[in-house]
Amino acid sequence: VTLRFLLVGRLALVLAVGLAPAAAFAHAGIDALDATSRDEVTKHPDDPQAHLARARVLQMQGEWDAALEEIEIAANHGGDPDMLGQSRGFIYLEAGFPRMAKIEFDRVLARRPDVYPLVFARGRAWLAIGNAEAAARDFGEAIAKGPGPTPEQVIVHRDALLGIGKKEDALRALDAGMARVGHVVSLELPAIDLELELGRPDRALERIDALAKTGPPNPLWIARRGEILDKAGRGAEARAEYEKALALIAQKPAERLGKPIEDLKRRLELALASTDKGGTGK
Amino acid sequence: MSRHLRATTLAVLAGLAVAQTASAVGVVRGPYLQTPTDTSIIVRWRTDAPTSSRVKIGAAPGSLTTSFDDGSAVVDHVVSVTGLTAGTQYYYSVGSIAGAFVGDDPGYYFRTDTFGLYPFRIWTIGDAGFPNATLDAVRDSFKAYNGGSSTTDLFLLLGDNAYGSNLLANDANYQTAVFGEHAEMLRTTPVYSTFGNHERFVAQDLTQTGDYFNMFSFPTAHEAGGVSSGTEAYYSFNFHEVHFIVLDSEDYASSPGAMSPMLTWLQADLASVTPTQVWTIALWHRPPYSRGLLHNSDTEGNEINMRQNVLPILDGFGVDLVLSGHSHSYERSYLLDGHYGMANTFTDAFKKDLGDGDPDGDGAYRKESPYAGSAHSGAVYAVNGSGSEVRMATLDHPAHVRGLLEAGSMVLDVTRTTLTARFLSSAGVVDDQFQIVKGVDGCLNAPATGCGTAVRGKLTMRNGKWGWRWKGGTIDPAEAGDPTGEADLRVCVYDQTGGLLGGDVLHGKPEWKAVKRGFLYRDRTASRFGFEKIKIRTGTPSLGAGIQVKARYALPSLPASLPVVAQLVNLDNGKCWSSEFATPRFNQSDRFLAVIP
Repeated sequence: VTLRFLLVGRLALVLAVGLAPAAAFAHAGIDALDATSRDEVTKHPDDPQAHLARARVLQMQGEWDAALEEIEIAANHGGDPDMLGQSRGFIYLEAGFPRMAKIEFDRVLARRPDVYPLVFARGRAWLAIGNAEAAARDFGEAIAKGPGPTPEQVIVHRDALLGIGKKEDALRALDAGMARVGHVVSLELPAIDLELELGRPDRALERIDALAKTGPPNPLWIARRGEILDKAGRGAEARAEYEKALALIAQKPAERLGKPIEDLKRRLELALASTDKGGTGK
Repeated sequence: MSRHLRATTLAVLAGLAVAQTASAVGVVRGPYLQTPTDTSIIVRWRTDAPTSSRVKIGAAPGSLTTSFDDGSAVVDHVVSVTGLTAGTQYYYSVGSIAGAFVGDDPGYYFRTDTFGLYPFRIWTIGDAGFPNATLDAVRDSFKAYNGGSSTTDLFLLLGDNAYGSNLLANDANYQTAVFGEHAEMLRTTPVYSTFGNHERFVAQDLTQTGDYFNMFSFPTAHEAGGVSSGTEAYYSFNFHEVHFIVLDSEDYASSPGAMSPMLTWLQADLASVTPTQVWTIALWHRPPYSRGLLHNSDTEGNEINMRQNVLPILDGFGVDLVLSGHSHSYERSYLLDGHYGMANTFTDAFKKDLGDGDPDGDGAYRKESPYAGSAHSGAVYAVNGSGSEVRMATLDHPAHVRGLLEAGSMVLDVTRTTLTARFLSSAGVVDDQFQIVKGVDGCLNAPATGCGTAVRGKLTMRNGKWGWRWKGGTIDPAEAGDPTGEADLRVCVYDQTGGLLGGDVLHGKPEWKAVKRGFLYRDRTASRFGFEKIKIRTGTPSLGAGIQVKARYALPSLPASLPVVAQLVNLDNGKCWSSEFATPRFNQSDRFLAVIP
């Protein structure tokens, strides 16, 4: 157990290191890291970890060739081939050579197919190559089997499928993601939008109801429910929802209504006025 | 196989070796406490060899009667302790099913959350990643300040929690800088953290992989209140009547167009803050306003993104306090609203209060609403990044009222109506403090004492109107303050049973204007505590110094219990001016009239 823990931990570490885009590190703290990693390499010239860390810093600075050279030095000093392969892959990916990146990821994954964050990274390489279907396959597998998928990964998966016009598959991707991540608002709202685009208001309503169960009563969800009913031509039900949302807003003291809620209130009042005139609030 | 059966089987297999196993295994990290709620808490620890997990709890050391088990053999133990009673202190031990490793003594306990339990204290440190003498001093200064105890109610880490010599916030460096340095506190105080750029070097928020995500258990599915985020990179929780939001300032705030998942979640989370919550505190690593060495919020993209994309949402929902680190210094802002641009676009117009917020200085910042979520009511931004190192810098961002090049930490003391924050230096000195007061008390407290008096006074209460005149005394303009700027005032009438009439009139209201030698408040609709007019003229009696109040209000039950006191108090400095009426001409059920002399 301990050995496995350590191995997975080290791989995850490299993954994390390699995945980070250089832009995220474009801050002055890199100077200190640069000096530290340089010192470490000088002090421990035979330590592959020191060279890997140095490669990481060079990667952050966009010094791709120098970073790859450090990885080769690490390899010459007995560095773990999987970790080195992943590192190379991430550098290639970031440097704009996705095909090279994919080759490196494929090599590692052939030996370690269970490193799902790396499967996700290979998906990004596929996407950069232009094969969105293959990318989506990797994203889907990584999200389904990975240790802790996030809403951001699911959105990447959705976007890959939407990019090739596969709305039904994109919706399925959101559902598969929510099966792992939970019914979070950042995924359920895009799913509702897709249901409506696909002409399925009843399904959209079911999703709103699921969302409403994930927290305290929220006027945003009730209002959204009303709008969906409204668009479906169910004016009376929509009106009831609008009134319910306004009643919930009215429970808050006036000074607590921030702009988003004030805007919502105004929208609801307009929609109600519209339904008063016999039409829908659309 | 059920968890219980599995655990039992393991225990049987362990057989006679139980005691030996228990004593042979060492706890090398923790125990530490996570995600406390009113009925549950998560206990974590690490052992030097794989074992099963058991937490035993009870009302006192030596009486631990309830067990929570996990039969899986692991080195990193995570046990959810559930079914607890709110607001209750429990003692505990951790170990394997074979026996306890540590605990079951007075140094191992936790307290469950409870709604309405006030006051409470939070200790927070940022960039405390160097396990050096400075960090020791910062930690020990808090312990001394806290009455010699490391235990407090919450411990908040603001990111870059571990550096080590290689500057990586990895497991090994966390072991020293967090779990080693703060072991005593972590045994009794729940800890939350936000993701810093040094954590980002060795962990990935996109995939929740890496050391940072392996060592903590933060709420992702509204386990402790709030809305489910689905990720430990950003999340929310409630503690007492405080709603906390923890954001990821590394990767997720840079979406000027479509909302990123974090921003979508943030808006939903803040919209769902319940009417009973009093405070909202947000924390993330990179400060939206800073001029620290190497970290300038005008030039670093992540800081700009947080300021431009996150702050408008927070302002719209009236967040009270934002805590960050990143710059290795202490900077603290005015009460701000609506500034999302570069430092050179900052003006006084973005200050909700021109004062320093120090109750011993210009006076506390006051917010009228007693609840969380009052839109655009202002927030204070604190950069608390000198937990283990100070870097020389100009610290001249105009949003900040204070900048300190001192190692230290912040202590937050929270009650239902006040949030007092102090910067505690490593030498144990409070070098900055500010206070936010929620709600106006409507004269519920007793009258102030030691007020300035006048030789003449008049108080009338009749037909739904009341009025007070104070004349023939001295009002120092500095003591009266400037209610168009920062002075918050209280005008009240008391009898011997308590407050009868009046309330607080906070600074900056449009009804205030400066007049010759004083200030005039005019509100023909008398919408704020019924005040139609408050006139304050400063100076000496010969210059006509005086106070005049006219108000409409549902009159209290009369006759009043004598003497009756009318007074004006500057809440920011405690100075007051008062008239005492002991012998009224009329004190009847429908009329009160008293005149001095």
